[in-house]
Amino acid sequence: MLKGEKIMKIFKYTAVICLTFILTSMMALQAQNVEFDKKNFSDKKGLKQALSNIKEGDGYFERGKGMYVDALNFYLKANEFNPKNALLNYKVGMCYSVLDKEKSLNYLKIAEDLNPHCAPDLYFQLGKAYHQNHQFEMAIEKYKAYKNKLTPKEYNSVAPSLNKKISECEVGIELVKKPAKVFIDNLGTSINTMYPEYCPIINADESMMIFTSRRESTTGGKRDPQDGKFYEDILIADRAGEGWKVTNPGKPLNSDLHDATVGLSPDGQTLYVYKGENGGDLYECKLKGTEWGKPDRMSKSINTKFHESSASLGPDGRTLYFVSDREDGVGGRDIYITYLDDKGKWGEPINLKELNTIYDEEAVFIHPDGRTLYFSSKGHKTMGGFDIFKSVYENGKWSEPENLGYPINTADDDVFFSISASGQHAYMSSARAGGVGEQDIFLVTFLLEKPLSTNSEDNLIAWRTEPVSETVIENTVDVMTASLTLLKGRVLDESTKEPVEAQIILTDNTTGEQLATFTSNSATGKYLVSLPSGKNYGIAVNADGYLFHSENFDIPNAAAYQEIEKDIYLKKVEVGKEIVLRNIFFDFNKATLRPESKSELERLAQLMKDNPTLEIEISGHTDNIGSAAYNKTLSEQRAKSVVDYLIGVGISSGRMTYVGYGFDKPIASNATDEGRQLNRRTEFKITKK
Amino acid sequence: MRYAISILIVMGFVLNMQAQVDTVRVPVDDPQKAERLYNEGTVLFESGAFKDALKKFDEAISMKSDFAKAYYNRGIVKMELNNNDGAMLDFNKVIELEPTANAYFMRGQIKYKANDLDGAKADYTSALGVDNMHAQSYYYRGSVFFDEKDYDAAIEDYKKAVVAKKDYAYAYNDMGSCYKMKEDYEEALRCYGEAVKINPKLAFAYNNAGTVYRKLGKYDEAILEYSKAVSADPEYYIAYNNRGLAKFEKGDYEGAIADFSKAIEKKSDYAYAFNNRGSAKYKIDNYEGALADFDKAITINSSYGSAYLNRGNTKEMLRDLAGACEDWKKASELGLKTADTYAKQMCK
Repeated sequence: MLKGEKIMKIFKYTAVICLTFILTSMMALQAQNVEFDKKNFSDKKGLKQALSNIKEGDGYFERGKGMYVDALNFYLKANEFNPKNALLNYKVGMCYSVLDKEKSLNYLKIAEDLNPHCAPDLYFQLGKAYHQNHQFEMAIEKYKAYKNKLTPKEYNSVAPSLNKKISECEVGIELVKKPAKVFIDNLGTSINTMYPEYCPIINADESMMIFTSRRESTTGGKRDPQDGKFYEDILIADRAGEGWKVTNPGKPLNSDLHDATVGLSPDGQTLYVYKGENGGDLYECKLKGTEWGKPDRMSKSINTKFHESSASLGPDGRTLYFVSDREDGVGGRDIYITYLDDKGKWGEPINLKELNTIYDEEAVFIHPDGRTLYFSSKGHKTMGGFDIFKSVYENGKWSEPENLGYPINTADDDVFFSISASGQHAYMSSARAGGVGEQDIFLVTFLLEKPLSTNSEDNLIAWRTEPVSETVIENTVDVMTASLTLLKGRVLDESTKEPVEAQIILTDNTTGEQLATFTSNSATGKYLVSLPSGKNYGIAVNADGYLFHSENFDIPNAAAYQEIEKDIYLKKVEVGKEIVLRNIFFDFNKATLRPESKSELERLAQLMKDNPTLEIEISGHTDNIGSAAYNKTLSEQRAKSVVDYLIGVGISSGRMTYVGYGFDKPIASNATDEGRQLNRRTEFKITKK
Repeated sequence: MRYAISILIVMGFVLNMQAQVDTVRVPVDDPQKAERLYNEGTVLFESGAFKDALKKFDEAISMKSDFAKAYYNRGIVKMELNNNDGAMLDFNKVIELEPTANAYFMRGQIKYKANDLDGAKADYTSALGVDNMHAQSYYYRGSVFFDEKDYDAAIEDYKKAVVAKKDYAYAYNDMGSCYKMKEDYEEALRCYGEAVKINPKLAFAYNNAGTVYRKLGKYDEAILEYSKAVSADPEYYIAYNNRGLAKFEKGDYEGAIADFSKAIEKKSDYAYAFNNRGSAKYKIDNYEGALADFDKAITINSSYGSAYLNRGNTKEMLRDLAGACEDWKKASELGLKTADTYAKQMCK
């Protein structure tokens, strides 16, 4: 053998020895899987007990997720005896997936470390666990590892769901990178208990919240044998100072079994309830005074033999969004819309195809602005499970659903979400950290993106030592702002100040269309009307035995969110009573009635027809701009125009007089625009009953 | 006050130039006492003994009431002694006796200092009537036009200034600033480039170019220019602050914080840098740190609206809505409309 060859051979041997040593060392470093085998344990009694625990645990485990909690107790005991068995760690990890995401991941990681082949779907489950823990890059890695292990046939059967999970992780990476600016606060012990609270639904002005709880005080006091928890009850929370006062309305709203709320009208007077009967149906329930009536099953056009869940009534009181998994849908549970017709019947539901996906949509909530829809979906760009999305109806179509972002949404199911009229607050339920126990209700405060102001300096002019400074305010970004006016208050009797149950009719003065009808609460007189921006609203308040009251709100498109609190005092039909007709409009400096006045004039005509002995004086009033003589003449001509209209629709001229007061009888100061506007008015006074 | 220090610096330069060239040779046996006193005054001025120089010029003028050069130099001395009214009278006298471009120019400087922009412009124009190559008169008239926001007229004058004085770096810088104000950023960059070609140590011209790049959203180029500014003048805190802003606008908040800190290191009471550093800390959710910086900015300048606005935003994030509202209201009082909107939206 040549010298060179000999050296090479020695080198090769040395290399093989070194490699063997390195590999052996590495294997020693990797954890060893320890089977539950006699040869591995001297404690035979302990082994027997551990095997028995595994067998018991398997009995539950094989029955599915619902039994994981029971299986876990046995598995943990066995795991205590032998913590180094890959399969057992896998099973413990699986059981924890319904209880504690972090622990679930930890046990699955141990299983992988001990033996990555211990279960055929270990990588998939690891992917899910990383996914749930928002470790999206690792989740993608494991999902892909799982994918690589599959045969082509196996892959074809799971490809859609597996690829969806990978894309959910990609969405998650993006959303977590740019979290939504929100505060998420637990509503505290005035709402939350150690038992589950969920599905909070807020009314428009956040004065009232309805939610579902499975607490000890449930009506009937019984537990559901399925899960051992108390039956659901619907609870009502009224705002009390900084906190809430919670009451259980009891029967008939709540029964001895499950009662869950799924929707509330913006004025808080109508509640939607889900009951599991007939495959899952929706019920409607009205507040009468202080009592909630019996839930009535909604019409057959809404409820089918399929599953109907979740309903939300628009601010007009005539548009209902609900969820159903009926056959004609896009896929799974879908969102439908239905309109109340003039006869008070819900029309044929329409599938909102622009918003629905082949996956489930759930928990629909229409904002009091009537055009922003919030819903949960497992489709669209979700980061995992149900995420909450919003879509805005503009120019005849729904915008592309926008994920509300992390941390509102998580990789878990984020379902119930209800937002205040102002758009500043939302209410959601979650089992996230910081809770009182199980699922809790949380308040989400949206922080309007507030640009910062920075300063730079430059020596623009060379001979000056003093630099020129420049202030830069960052560009504002689109923020969630509601574009509506909430009008709320009480309807009261003018003299007794007692609450009156009155009908509040909302009219679009421009088209004359009657938009909505509401009723004030008989016990409190409270009312709440949502007026989306962009219309000239006429509001008429009617109650038997009273003169109607009218208000006008001309709200431009650009108007920001505002709340107007106004108590309305109704006057009895008595001689001498005066009513301001706020929805009678004239052309500028003329006595010609504008078309927008039609609804109000019709109301006045109807009053005269309903009370055939009534005689009235119509008076015109102006502000103090211009001469007294000019204003007097103008106001008189305007009053005459109203009388002429009434004569034209058949009211006897003998029952009416007209007078122009000019600016002699102001009801507000003429020093301000607002005051002058109030002074420019048409009134009628009862002169004979 | 705005121009005071700077004008004096330039005047000092002009004065020195005049004093050096305008001595008059007095024959030993010549009894021309006025001229001798004038020369003595000029020497005293050069040595910084202004009051003594003034006495000499007074005496010279008392002996020879039509001694134009003595009036001129006395005017310069009076300016040094902050007696601008007296100086003005002397320059008036010079113009009456023998009008020179320098006399008109110096009177123009006094008027500019007194914010009499029209008067200053008229004197610079008169100076140019006497000497149409008087570069400084073009330059300062350009500056007046700049103040009046008549950038086209200013550019015309700066162009003439660089014709009269080819290495007039200041004129190129200011011309660049006019183009910047006109948002003709390409020309602005060309002019700033000319300025630093003449004088590579002109830190502020690099700085100004950096700001133009920032306006164009070219943050990397801006950072490069600001870096040249601080290497030309390592004490030039303004460029550190601006470089920080370029990084801030680029989204490099850590880098921005480092630059703002550097600016603060150079100028410990630099309210802008504290405010900007607070803003960068806010961006990386370091609200406590941001609050401390805004506090400091407000301590330095109690009427600093931006700092109140930003501190309000920070307090909101720290769940101190009452404190936030107080700050937004203060910022609103100081004229920040945005703060007024926040106060109305968020504060009851």
